[in-house]
Amino acid sequence: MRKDAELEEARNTIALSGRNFVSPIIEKAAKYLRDNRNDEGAWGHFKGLHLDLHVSALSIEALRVCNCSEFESSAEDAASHIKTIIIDKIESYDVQQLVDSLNILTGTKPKDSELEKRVVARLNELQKNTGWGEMELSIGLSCRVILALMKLEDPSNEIIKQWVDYLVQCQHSEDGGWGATPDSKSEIISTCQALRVINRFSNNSSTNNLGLAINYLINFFQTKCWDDLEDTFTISNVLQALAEIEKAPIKIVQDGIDALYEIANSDGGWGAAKGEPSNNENTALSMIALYSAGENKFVPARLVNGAFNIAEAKISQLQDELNDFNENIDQNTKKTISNIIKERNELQQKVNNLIQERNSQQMVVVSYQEKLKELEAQLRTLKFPFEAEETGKKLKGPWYRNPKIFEGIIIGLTSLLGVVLSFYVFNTYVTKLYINNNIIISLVGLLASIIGIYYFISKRSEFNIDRDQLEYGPQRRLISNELFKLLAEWPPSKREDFIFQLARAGDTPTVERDSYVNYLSEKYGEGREQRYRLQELLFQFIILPHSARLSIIDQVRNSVSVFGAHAYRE
Amino acid sequence: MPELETSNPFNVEYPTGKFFVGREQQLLQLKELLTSLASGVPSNLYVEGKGGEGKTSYLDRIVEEARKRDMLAFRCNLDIGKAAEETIDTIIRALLRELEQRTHQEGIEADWSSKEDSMLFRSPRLQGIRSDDLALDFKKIHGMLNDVGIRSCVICIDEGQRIDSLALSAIKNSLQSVKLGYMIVLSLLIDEKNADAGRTGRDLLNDLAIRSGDPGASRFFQNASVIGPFDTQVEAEQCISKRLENNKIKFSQSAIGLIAHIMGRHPRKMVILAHRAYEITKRLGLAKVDEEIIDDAFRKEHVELVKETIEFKGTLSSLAIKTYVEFAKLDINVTAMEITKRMFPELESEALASISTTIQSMLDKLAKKKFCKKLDSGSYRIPQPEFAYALKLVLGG
Repeated sequence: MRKDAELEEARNTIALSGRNFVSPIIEKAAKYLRDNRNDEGAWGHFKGLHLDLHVSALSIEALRVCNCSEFESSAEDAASHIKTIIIDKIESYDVQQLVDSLNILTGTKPKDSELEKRVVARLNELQKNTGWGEMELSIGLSCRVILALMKLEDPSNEIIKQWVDYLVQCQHSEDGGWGATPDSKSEIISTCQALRVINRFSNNSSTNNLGLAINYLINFFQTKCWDDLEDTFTISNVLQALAEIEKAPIKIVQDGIDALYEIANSDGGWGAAKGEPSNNENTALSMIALYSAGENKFVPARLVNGAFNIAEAKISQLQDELNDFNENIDQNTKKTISNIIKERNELQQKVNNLIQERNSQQMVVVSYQEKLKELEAQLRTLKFPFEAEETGKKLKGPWYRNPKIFEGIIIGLTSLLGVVLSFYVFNTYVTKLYINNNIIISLVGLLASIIGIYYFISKRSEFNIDRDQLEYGPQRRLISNELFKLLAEWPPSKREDFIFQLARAGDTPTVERDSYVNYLSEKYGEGREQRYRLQELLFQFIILPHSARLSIIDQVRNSVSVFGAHAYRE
Repeated sequence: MPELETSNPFNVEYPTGKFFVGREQQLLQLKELLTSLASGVPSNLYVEGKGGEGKTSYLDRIVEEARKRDMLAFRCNLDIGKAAEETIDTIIRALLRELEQRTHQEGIEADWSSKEDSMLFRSPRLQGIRSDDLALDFKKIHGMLNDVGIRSCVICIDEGQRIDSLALSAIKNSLQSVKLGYMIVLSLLIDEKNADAGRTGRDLLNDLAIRSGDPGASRFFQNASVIGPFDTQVEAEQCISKRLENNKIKFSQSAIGLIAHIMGRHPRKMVILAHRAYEITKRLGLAKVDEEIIDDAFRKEHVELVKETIEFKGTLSSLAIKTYVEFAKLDINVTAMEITKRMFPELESEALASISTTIQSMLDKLAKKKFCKKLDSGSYRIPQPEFAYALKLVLGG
C-alpha cells in the first residue's frame, strides 16, 4: 500500500507538472482552421464554404483545446455567431445538430444556461427509450449525446446512468465491442464511442466492461495496424478514445499518433485520407485526437529528469528487495527442509510403532486361532460321560449314571424295609404259629419287596431319557452361559437379530459353516477379543445337533429376556 | 354501388396483363408490326429487359392485341437447359393447344405428341430436327388456321434467352422457307452481369446465332423492343393506381408517387413495395396509405439493406454523408466532379478539382461497400433504386 501511494504521488507530480503548450504541428493545424473560416467566421467543409454546424462545432472544439488565446478568440467569435443560428433553428435540428450545438454552447463564455437547457430539452424530446437514433437506436449517436451532456455543469445523471446501464447490456460478450445498433456486429467506431462514455462514467460495476472493450481494441490492433483504418475520420476517433483510457497500451497510442502525423498535409491540415486535400472536418478531428493523446502537453526536462530519478530510486529499491530475498532464500529453504525431514522421521517412527502393534495383534490372533483349534480338537475328542447305546427309542447305560437311580434306591430300600418287617413279623408271630392278619400283612410286605427288588434288577439299565440331554448337556450349558454373558451386554435389537441368525446357522451347508461363523463373529463381535470368543462359541454351537441348538437358543433367549434386559439397562 | 375489394391487389408472384399501363412507344411499334403481319409481311421481334421490368406483361399485351385482330396468338415459357427438340416440341404443342381452342377441334396436339405415330405431322416422327420437315408442319398448321379464317399467328416465347441455338436456327429456316403469316416474339432477359457489361438483346441473339453456326438466326429478328422501368412518373403511378380501383384501401397520390420514386419506376419492385404497404395499412386498420407507411414498408421490405446502411453511417464523416446523400439524389451515372459541383457550386474550378479527388475516394468507399458501381468511364452508378433510397433515408435523416 505504501508503495502504491508513493507511485501514485510520483505519477501525480509528473501529471501536474505538464503544462499546456502549443505543439508546432497542432499550431499549424490551428492556423489552417483559422484561415479556412468563411465570411461568417465559421466553417464549412472547405475553405470559404457556407457554414456546416458539425464542422464548425468540431473546429471550435479543436481551437479551444489548443489553449492559445489567439485561436481561442477565433473559436469564441464563431461560437457566438453560431449561437444566434442555434436559437433560430433549434426546433428543426436533428439529434446530431443538437449535439453539435451543445458542444459549442458548453464551452462558450459567458454561459447561456437557458439555451443549453433548451437544447437538452429538445434532446430529451427526441430520445427513444434510453438512447437516440434516426431510424433505429444508434450506439454511436447516443454516445455522442451522452458525451455532450457530460460536459454540462449540472448534467442529468439519471439519463447518463440509464444509457450507461443500457450500453453495458449491449456490449458483445464474445469480443467486448459494440455495433452501430444494439444488435449489429461489433465495429471499431461505435466501440470507441462507447468506450469513451464508459471510461468517463467509470464505476466499479463497469470496470469489467471497460477491460473487455480495451481488449477488443488490443485484439483489433493485433491483426491490423493503423494504416488499415484507411481514413482520417476513423484514425482520429480511435486515437481519441484510446488516448482517454489510462489503461490503453501506450505503444498503440504512440503508433496512432505517428499514423496521424504521417497523413498530415504540408498545409497543416488533414484530408479525408492520406494524400487527399485538407478539409476542416478532418483537420479538427485530428487536432482533437492529438490533444487527447497529450501531444499538446509540454513537460520540462527538469521534471522529466525528476521523474526518471524517482523511477530509478524505485527500481533500485526493488532491486535491493530482490537481493535480500535471494540471500534469505537459502536459509529459509534449509530451515524448511530440516523441518520437513524431522517431521518425516517422526512419521516414520509412528509407522514403525503401528507395524509393531499390528504384529503383536497378529500374534494374539495366532494364539487365539491355536487355542480355537485346540478347543475344536478337544471338542472332537471329548468323551461324553454317558455313552449310551441306542436300542430303539430307549438308551442303555451304566446304572450309576441313571438319573432315576434315587427312585430305584427308594424302591429298593422300601422293598428292603418290607423284607425286614416281614422277617420281624414272621419271627414274632410265625414262630408262635399264629396265623392272623399280621401274617398276611407280612406276606404282602414280603411280596412287595420281592416285586421291588425284581423291578430294580430287571429294569436297571432301561432309561427313557432325552438323548441330547444326556449327550450334550455340559456343552449346551457352557455355550448357553457364555452366549448369555455376551448377549446380555448387547442391545435388544442386536440380540434378536443375532438369535435369529443363530437359528439359521443349522441350515448352513457343512462346507460353508466356517465362513458363516466368521461372518457372524465379524458382524456381531465387538472388539477383537469378543469376536474370537464368539467365533469359538459358534464353532462349538454349529456342530451340535438341531435339537441341542434349539435348546440353546431357547435357553439363551429366555435368559436374556429375563436377565439380559436388566444387565443391559445397568 | 358495387362492393369494394378488401384483398391485396398487388400480386408479387406473377405479372397481370390486365393492369398493363404505359409502354406507349412499344405499343406503337407493336401495332405497326401486327398491321404488317396482317397484310402478309411478317416481321419478328425480340423484347429485351431486366428482371421484373414488365417483359412478360408486354408479351401478354401482344397476345391480347393480336387476338383483337383475329390472329392466333399465345405465350409459351421455355425451361432452362432443354435440348433443341424439346424446345421445338414446347412451342409447337403450345401452338396446337391454342389452335384446338380456337378451332374447337380435338386431337391435334395428341397427334403431335404421339411421335412416330403422328398422322398429321412429320417432325415428331423423326429423331432430331430437320428444317424442311418443320417447315411442312408449320405449313400444315397454317392450312388448319386458314380453314377457320385465321391468316396470321403470333408466337410469343418468354424466357427466350434459354432457347437452344439449334432450335432457334431451325425455326428461322423453316419459317423463312414457308413465308407464311407467322410472327415470332422472343423475350430476352438481360441479367445483372450482362447489364454491367453493357450487353444488349442483340448481343445475346448474336451469341445464339454464332453457337448454332447460323449467323442469320440473329437477323431473323429485325425488330427490337426494350422494356425498362416505366418511361414516365405518370405511367409508374398508373401501375399502382390501376390496381387500387374498386379497392377499399386507398393510396394517397404522394404515396404512389413515392413508391414510383423509391423503386425507380421499376414495375415489379413497385408492386412488391405497394404490397407490403397495403398489408401494413390493412393490419393497422387504416383506410389510406401515406408516405410514412411507405417508408415503414420500405424499412420492413429491405431490413438488411437499411441495417447495413445504418451501420455504414457510423463509420462516415459528415463530408462523406453529405456526398452520399447528394449522390443518392441523382438518378443518373455521375462522376466525382459532377457531384462535387452539385455539392459546392460556389467553388472555383481549381478548388473543385482538388476536392473532387476527396469525393472520388469517398465514392470508391461506397462502391467497395457495393452501394454503387464504378463504371469503366469513371462515373458512378447506383445499380438498384432501393440502394439510393436507403442512402437517402438513413444518411439524409
